[in-house]
Amino acid sequence: MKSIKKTRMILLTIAFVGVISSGCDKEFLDEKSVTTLTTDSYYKTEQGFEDLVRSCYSLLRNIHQNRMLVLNGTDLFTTGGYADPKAAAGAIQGGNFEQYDARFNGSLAELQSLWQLLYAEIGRTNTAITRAVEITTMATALKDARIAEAKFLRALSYFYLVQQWGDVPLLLVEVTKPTKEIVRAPSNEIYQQIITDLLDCEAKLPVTASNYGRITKGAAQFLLARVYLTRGWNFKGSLGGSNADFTQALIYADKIIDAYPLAAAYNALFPIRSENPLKQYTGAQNDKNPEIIFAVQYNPDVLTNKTDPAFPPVDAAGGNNLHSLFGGGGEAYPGSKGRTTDYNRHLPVHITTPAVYRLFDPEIDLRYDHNFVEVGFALNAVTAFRPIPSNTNLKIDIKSGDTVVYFRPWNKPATTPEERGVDVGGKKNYAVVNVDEYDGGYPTTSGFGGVEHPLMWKFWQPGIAYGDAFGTFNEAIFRSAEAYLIAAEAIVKGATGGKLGGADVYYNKVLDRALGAKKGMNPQCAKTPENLKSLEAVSYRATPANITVDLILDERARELMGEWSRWFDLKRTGKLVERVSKYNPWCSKNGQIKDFHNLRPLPQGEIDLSFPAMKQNDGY
Amino acid sequence: MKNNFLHHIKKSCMKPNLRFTAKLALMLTCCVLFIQPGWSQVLAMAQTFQPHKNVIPQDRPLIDVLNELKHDFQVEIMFEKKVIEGFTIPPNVVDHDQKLEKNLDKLLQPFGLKYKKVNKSSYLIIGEKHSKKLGKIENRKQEENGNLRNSENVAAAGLSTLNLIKEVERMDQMVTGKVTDEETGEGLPGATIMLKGTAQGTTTDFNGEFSISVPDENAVLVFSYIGYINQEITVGNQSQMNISMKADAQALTELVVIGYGEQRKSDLTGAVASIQTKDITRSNPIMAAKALQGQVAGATVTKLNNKPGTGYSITIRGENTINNSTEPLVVIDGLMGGNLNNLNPADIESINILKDASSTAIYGARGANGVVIVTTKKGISGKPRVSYDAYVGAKVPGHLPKLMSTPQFYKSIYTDRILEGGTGPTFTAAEQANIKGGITTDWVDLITQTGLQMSHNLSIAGGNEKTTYRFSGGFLNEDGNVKYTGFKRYNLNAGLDSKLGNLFKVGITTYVSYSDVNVGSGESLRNAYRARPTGTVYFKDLANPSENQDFNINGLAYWMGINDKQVPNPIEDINPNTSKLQTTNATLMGNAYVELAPVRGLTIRSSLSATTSNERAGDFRGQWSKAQIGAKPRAQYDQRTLASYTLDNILNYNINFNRHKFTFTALQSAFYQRNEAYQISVRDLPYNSDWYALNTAATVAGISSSLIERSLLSFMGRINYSFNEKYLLTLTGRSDGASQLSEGNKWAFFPSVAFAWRLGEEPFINDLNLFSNLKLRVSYGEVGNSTVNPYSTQAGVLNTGYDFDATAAYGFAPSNLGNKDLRWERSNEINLGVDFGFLRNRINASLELYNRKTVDLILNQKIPTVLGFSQVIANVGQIENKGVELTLNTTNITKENFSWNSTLTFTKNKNKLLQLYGEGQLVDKGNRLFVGKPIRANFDYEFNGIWQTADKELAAKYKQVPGAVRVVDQNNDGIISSTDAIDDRVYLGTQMPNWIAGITNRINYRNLDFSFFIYYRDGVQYNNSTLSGTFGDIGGTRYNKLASLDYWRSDNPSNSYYGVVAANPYRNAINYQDASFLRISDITFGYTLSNSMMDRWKLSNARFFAQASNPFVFSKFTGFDPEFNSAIFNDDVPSVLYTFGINLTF
Repeated sequence: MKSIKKTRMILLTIAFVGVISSGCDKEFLDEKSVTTLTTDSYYKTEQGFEDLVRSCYSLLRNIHQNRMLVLNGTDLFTTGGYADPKAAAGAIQGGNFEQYDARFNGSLAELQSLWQLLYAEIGRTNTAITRAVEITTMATALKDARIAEAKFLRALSYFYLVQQWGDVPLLLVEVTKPTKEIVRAPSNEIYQQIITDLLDCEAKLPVTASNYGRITKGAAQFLLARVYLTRGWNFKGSLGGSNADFTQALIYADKIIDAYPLAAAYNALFPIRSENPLKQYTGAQNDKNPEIIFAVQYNPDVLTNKTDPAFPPVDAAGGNNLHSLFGGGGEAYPGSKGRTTDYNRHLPVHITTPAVYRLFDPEIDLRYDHNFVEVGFALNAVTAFRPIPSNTNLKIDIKSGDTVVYFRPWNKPATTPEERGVDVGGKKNYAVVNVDEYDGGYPTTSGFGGVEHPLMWKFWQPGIAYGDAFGTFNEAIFRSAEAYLIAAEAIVKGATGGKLGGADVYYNKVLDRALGAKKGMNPQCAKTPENLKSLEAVSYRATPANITVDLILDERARELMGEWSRWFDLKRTGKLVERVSKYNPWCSKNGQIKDFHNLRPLPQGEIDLSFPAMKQNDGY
Repeated sequence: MKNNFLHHIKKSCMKPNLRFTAKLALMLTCCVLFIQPGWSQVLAMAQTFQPHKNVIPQDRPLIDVLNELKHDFQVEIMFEKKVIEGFTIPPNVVDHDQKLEKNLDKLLQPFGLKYKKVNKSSYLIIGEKHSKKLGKIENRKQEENGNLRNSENVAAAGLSTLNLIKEVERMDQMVTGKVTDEETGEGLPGATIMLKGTAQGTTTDFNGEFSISVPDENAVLVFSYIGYINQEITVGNQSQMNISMKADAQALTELVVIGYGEQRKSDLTGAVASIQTKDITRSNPIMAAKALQGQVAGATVTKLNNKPGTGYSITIRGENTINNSTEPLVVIDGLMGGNLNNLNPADIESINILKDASSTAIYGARGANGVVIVTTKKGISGKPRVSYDAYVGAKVPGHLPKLMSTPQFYKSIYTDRILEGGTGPTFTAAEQANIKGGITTDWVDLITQTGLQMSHNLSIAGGNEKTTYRFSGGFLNEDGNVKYTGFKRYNLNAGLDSKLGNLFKVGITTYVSYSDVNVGSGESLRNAYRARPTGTVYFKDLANPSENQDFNINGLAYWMGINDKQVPNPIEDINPNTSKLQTTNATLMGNAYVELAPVRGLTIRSSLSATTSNERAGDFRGQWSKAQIGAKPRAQYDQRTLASYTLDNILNYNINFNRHKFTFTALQSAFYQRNEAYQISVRDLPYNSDWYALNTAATVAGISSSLIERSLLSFMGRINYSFNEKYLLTLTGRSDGASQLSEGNKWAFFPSVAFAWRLGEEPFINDLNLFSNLKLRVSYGEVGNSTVNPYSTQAGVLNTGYDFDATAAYGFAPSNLGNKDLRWERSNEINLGVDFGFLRNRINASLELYNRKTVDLILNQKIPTVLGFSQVIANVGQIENKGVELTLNTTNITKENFSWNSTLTFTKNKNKLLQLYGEGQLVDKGNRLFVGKPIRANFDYEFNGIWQTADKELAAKYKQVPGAVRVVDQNNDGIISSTDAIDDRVYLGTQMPNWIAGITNRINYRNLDFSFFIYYRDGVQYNNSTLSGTFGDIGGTRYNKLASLDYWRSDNPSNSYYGVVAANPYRNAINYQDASFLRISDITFGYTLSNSMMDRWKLSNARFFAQASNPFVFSKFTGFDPEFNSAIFNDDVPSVLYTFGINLTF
């Protein structure tokens, strides 16, 4: 008995000591992350470096989905409701970006968002450029190309920044320690850096990249054309530019024109679709066109069709949202199926100003037809529909496929009861809306809901799940049509030696493509686009005599509408205040746009976080 | 034979620090009783020992010397008085430097006496004659019951002594009875009954019953029990005496858990608050943390939201850190980092809150936010005690903000808009009919319900002197007030403690908890608050559904007859087949220890606590949920496993030299935690399958998994020293190494010192006859905080997705700015404490004053995004938290049938940022940090009423219009600007409370009890989420709004809320509101059955109660519950709970 007990005690004691002595492992406090790699170890490898450069691309989606600062508050895009009679009296107001009033200040989230994204991109590209030194095993040409891709994306980001905000902080190496001391560099230094980087890119980048979608030599050349053109205008003498820059712009534009032919038809650049959802196109789409030099990539794989995970997505769906932001509420048409893919979401974020419709020749300019859906259809039958809700006696039966709304072209407004809808005492069993009634001007007593303005379907992609950002079509950022207009503008500003001839030649190349079979004809736009009642028309074909910066800006509006450029074009050419005051209905009524608006206010958060605090741009 | 008693020598129960020994003896005695029930044991108690006197040494009686030995060596020595009577001992035989055994040998041998070691601290003295007799009895007993015990067994020794007692001569008169706790009515086992003026006495058995022989009817019996007030009663002619004992309010003997040990409350040197099971379960909280609200001075406990199954946030003594967690460390049965919400409050024995740095310093690295130590209930020896506690109740929506009715809504979005020159929205024919008929659809009412709330707890505890056990099971159901939501929790708990021989003690506790929360869509309540009152519920009621393309889903009008496609019918959204967000959590906690006591005073304990918590969240959004609106269902499945262990090796050594008492504690501890997660989300599910057929989905939208590990290694030492039980000193040092800090900064040392002076024991205070207790405490300590997330010091990478021509092009971007200099955040704190009592402790209180300074704050600092990142984890600045805490207990009335006592707690903490980044910067607007102001600051334009028509011209100067929110132009420069030099934004207030008070009142009248708890929080300023959302957007025409807004109109020049059409760039300024509130948290009525009834049913306690929780709230705050800032998104409505319950013990 006793010995058993003793043995038991000894065993217990041994076990006890065993427990006590555990837990003193030397590596116990070492931190080894299984989930995530560290930059210090991973970016030393060739694969890590490649992955780092690839990560610089995904932010392109986030950056270019920030469209408010590029599209809104210009002569082309605004917020809806401008035709409401109350708007003229000032009883209702436009959005934060339209009237340039007290609301347009550094606190706007869009300012912070774009600023932050651009600097995040600069941070990543700087990391790639800085870390490249440690990559020794990679083939030189490949490594140089990767560095050049990063440099291009950095130059692009700085180009966007310097245009929006003027003097901005210039960082060129990886940041490893936080600081609050942020110093703004003069604009001319930034332009100098952009050009240095891009020239390097032009030298190092291949004509055809290893993967379609990567930066190529052509992209660098195109951007050089834009940068030289911009520096040539030399905003308030601050960019260090000269007239020689226009010549450079022309040279680079010609390089692009040589290498990147225009697509045969304008609509070949955008998703194929029908205007009647009941007969919608369901076939394949092609977003690769030789005209496109550089595009933000999107694709049907949901796992990669997402914005960058470092930032909250614009939409949880993550893909291209371009196709659903230009308004026109098909959902609210009588006989709608509700929230379906048929008309998709079409959020009224960037609403075309009424002047825009009047810049086109609705008959022969194919871009008008491509951009705007003039007829709305009932997708379901509606019985005993009351076109005037308060009138219980007036009822019509609507069949599936019936027209429920028709937006008249600017040059053919409906004037007689025969042409007008029953909802306003006319004869047609659908609403008929004239340009001056778009966005709030149509009688509110009408039972046809959602008649604000035609759907702007330039980028609309059929068969996409309901929502904002499920689009899979690439967003073209540079295409050669713009190079023709850059060349034209450079020549107007004094550049000589254009390969194709004078400014009008370059201009008409773009126009003629848009006229298709009617090539060579004189398309007619409104002589005074801002005067919605005037039917007076004028040709917009260029001649050596009539070509001006304004004509080019009009053509840019028609050709590049909704693409990522308008605010930059207006600012570059010094036409911002003039054209916005004239064409943006909110601004023409109650606008307070001033010269200082050519620079954006610095985001308030950035000022608050810097120490010593950065100085706000003048006027804000 | 009369004097032939066995003397069970025991130090007076009231003498401090012997409680452990006393308990052991009690256990021993008790368990003997358990084995041989029905015996009457008559024990004689030794008289309290004589104090040392300065007299010439002379021979002394052996009994006195033995008494002295038991005191000096802190042991028990039992003997038959007869055996040692008449023996005297010459002076200086006892040598204190030698072991007790040696001394006993020396003392006893000359008289032919022997001793027997019963256990490590008990000795039995036997004469030769008796030792033979003992042997015989033992043999006989063994023959009778051979498998009972071996002769060396402790219990057998006890048994033998009791066999001796059998031979004790009967006394003249027999008195029997029961000793019970006055409050609970439960029998008190082990209470002492002494015959006054003699050394004779007995103790109660497990039911609290006793029997004792007394010489005559003049005999006086003294009833005493630790923690209760003594009672003296003359026997008279009674043969049955039932005594109910009153708890001693002073409760100086109360034990407080201090981290790696226990201390008597009277020996405390630091600031420690303690609440016991009674106070935890009094208000029947769902979560244990609720029991701390207003009951513990210094703890700020805040409800997170109204959803069923939601926990509370706890901060102790203000916030030391800016945007890292301010939650205290929770230690459950030794397990660091436990989750209080997984515990059933009924299983908790006590919650102790370590507040000052000297107390928390023993948790060094993790002590900066305070420490909450939870001890679960353990078994007690005795016959099985079964308790059943249950309640059932109705949870009724209450204190809801009112929304506009159809006429009010129509007026605000139509009539008044037209009046102010705006336009009204269009209405469908269905809406117009409702407007005409004045019909209001109350969507909130339609989707809410009265919920069922109930709880059942069953526990069994018992054991013998070697092994004790406790098992318990609990079930709780809390319905949400939003239909089809609810919380269920199941708990199982088992604990076993056992002695292995004389040296070892082992124990294990396991705690299993399973909970299931279903919160439905999370959006439907907000939808109901948004949906227009002009809407129509059922499809059949729509005359022309095609007008707004409405359709029929389960009989409901999906778009409610409204021409708006943002909010679908909330009744469909709550449909459990449509939206389901269910989280289940299975937690297993276990603690096992082995304790070795090789020599007297020394214990070495090794304890392993482990937990694994598996949480699964399933999120299903059906075709007609708000999230999908016709699209095919989507689902998400999240699985998270949190596992950790804490290994503690603790050495404790107690040693006393005369009036010097030392306790040494040394600790080595290792903590490891891993957090695994994976997540998959899919869309385009072909049918409603919740999240159980993800494989059928057409599209996988996301997959991720992760592992986060952290570890902490610690060494700690503590010395408790007391002199003469008056002067107390505690020294603590702890060294911690944390994995998540960078190399070279991993380790830090945290020292503390504390001193207490029991002033009340000094003659000059005692003579004042003013204080019944007075103690001063002062402490200083340093603690750390390393709550930064693992891997923060390293620059990690982030997986990015892109494609090149539809070929996946994943990349890895830098994810954060690593901070290789990240080091410990350190707090140092001075605490001054006073404990005092008046009027025999009918009034007693603790007052604490503290000043804590935190340096090297670990801040998730926002940085200029020019750097490529928006934040970095950095050590910056200094914060100060100063405060006062008062806990006041009063016994207002104490009569035989009526008593009333109250507890008041008061907490005031003042938080101030002392320093920022050290570059002379005093203001960091971007991070909302202002030197000299508290953190969590509100910084914005200051509300200055509404622009009135009379001020139209001035308004125009500010580009404002009448009816718009007017803000203060602080610098009077004529523009409202946020530009740096002319910034009109100012510090407006803080979201931290100014002060907090809680009052508990408990009243007993005969068998009735009544209690209520009042809670007041002063001075939290919220940016009101209810107002800032759509419910406060009076200019909006789309959604319903609060009915209570007194909004500006040309014909109603309100200065409190803006008008319906005015543009409002400064609307936000109106939302900063004071959220002070007074809440009657609960009111409880109880009735305890009379003793006779209980006896009949063989119950030791039976109580019925009715309770109302949250019946009244008073606040000026607009919105839902002022306790937290809710926008009702992902929330439930506030409620009032009415319950009826029962407590049974037998």
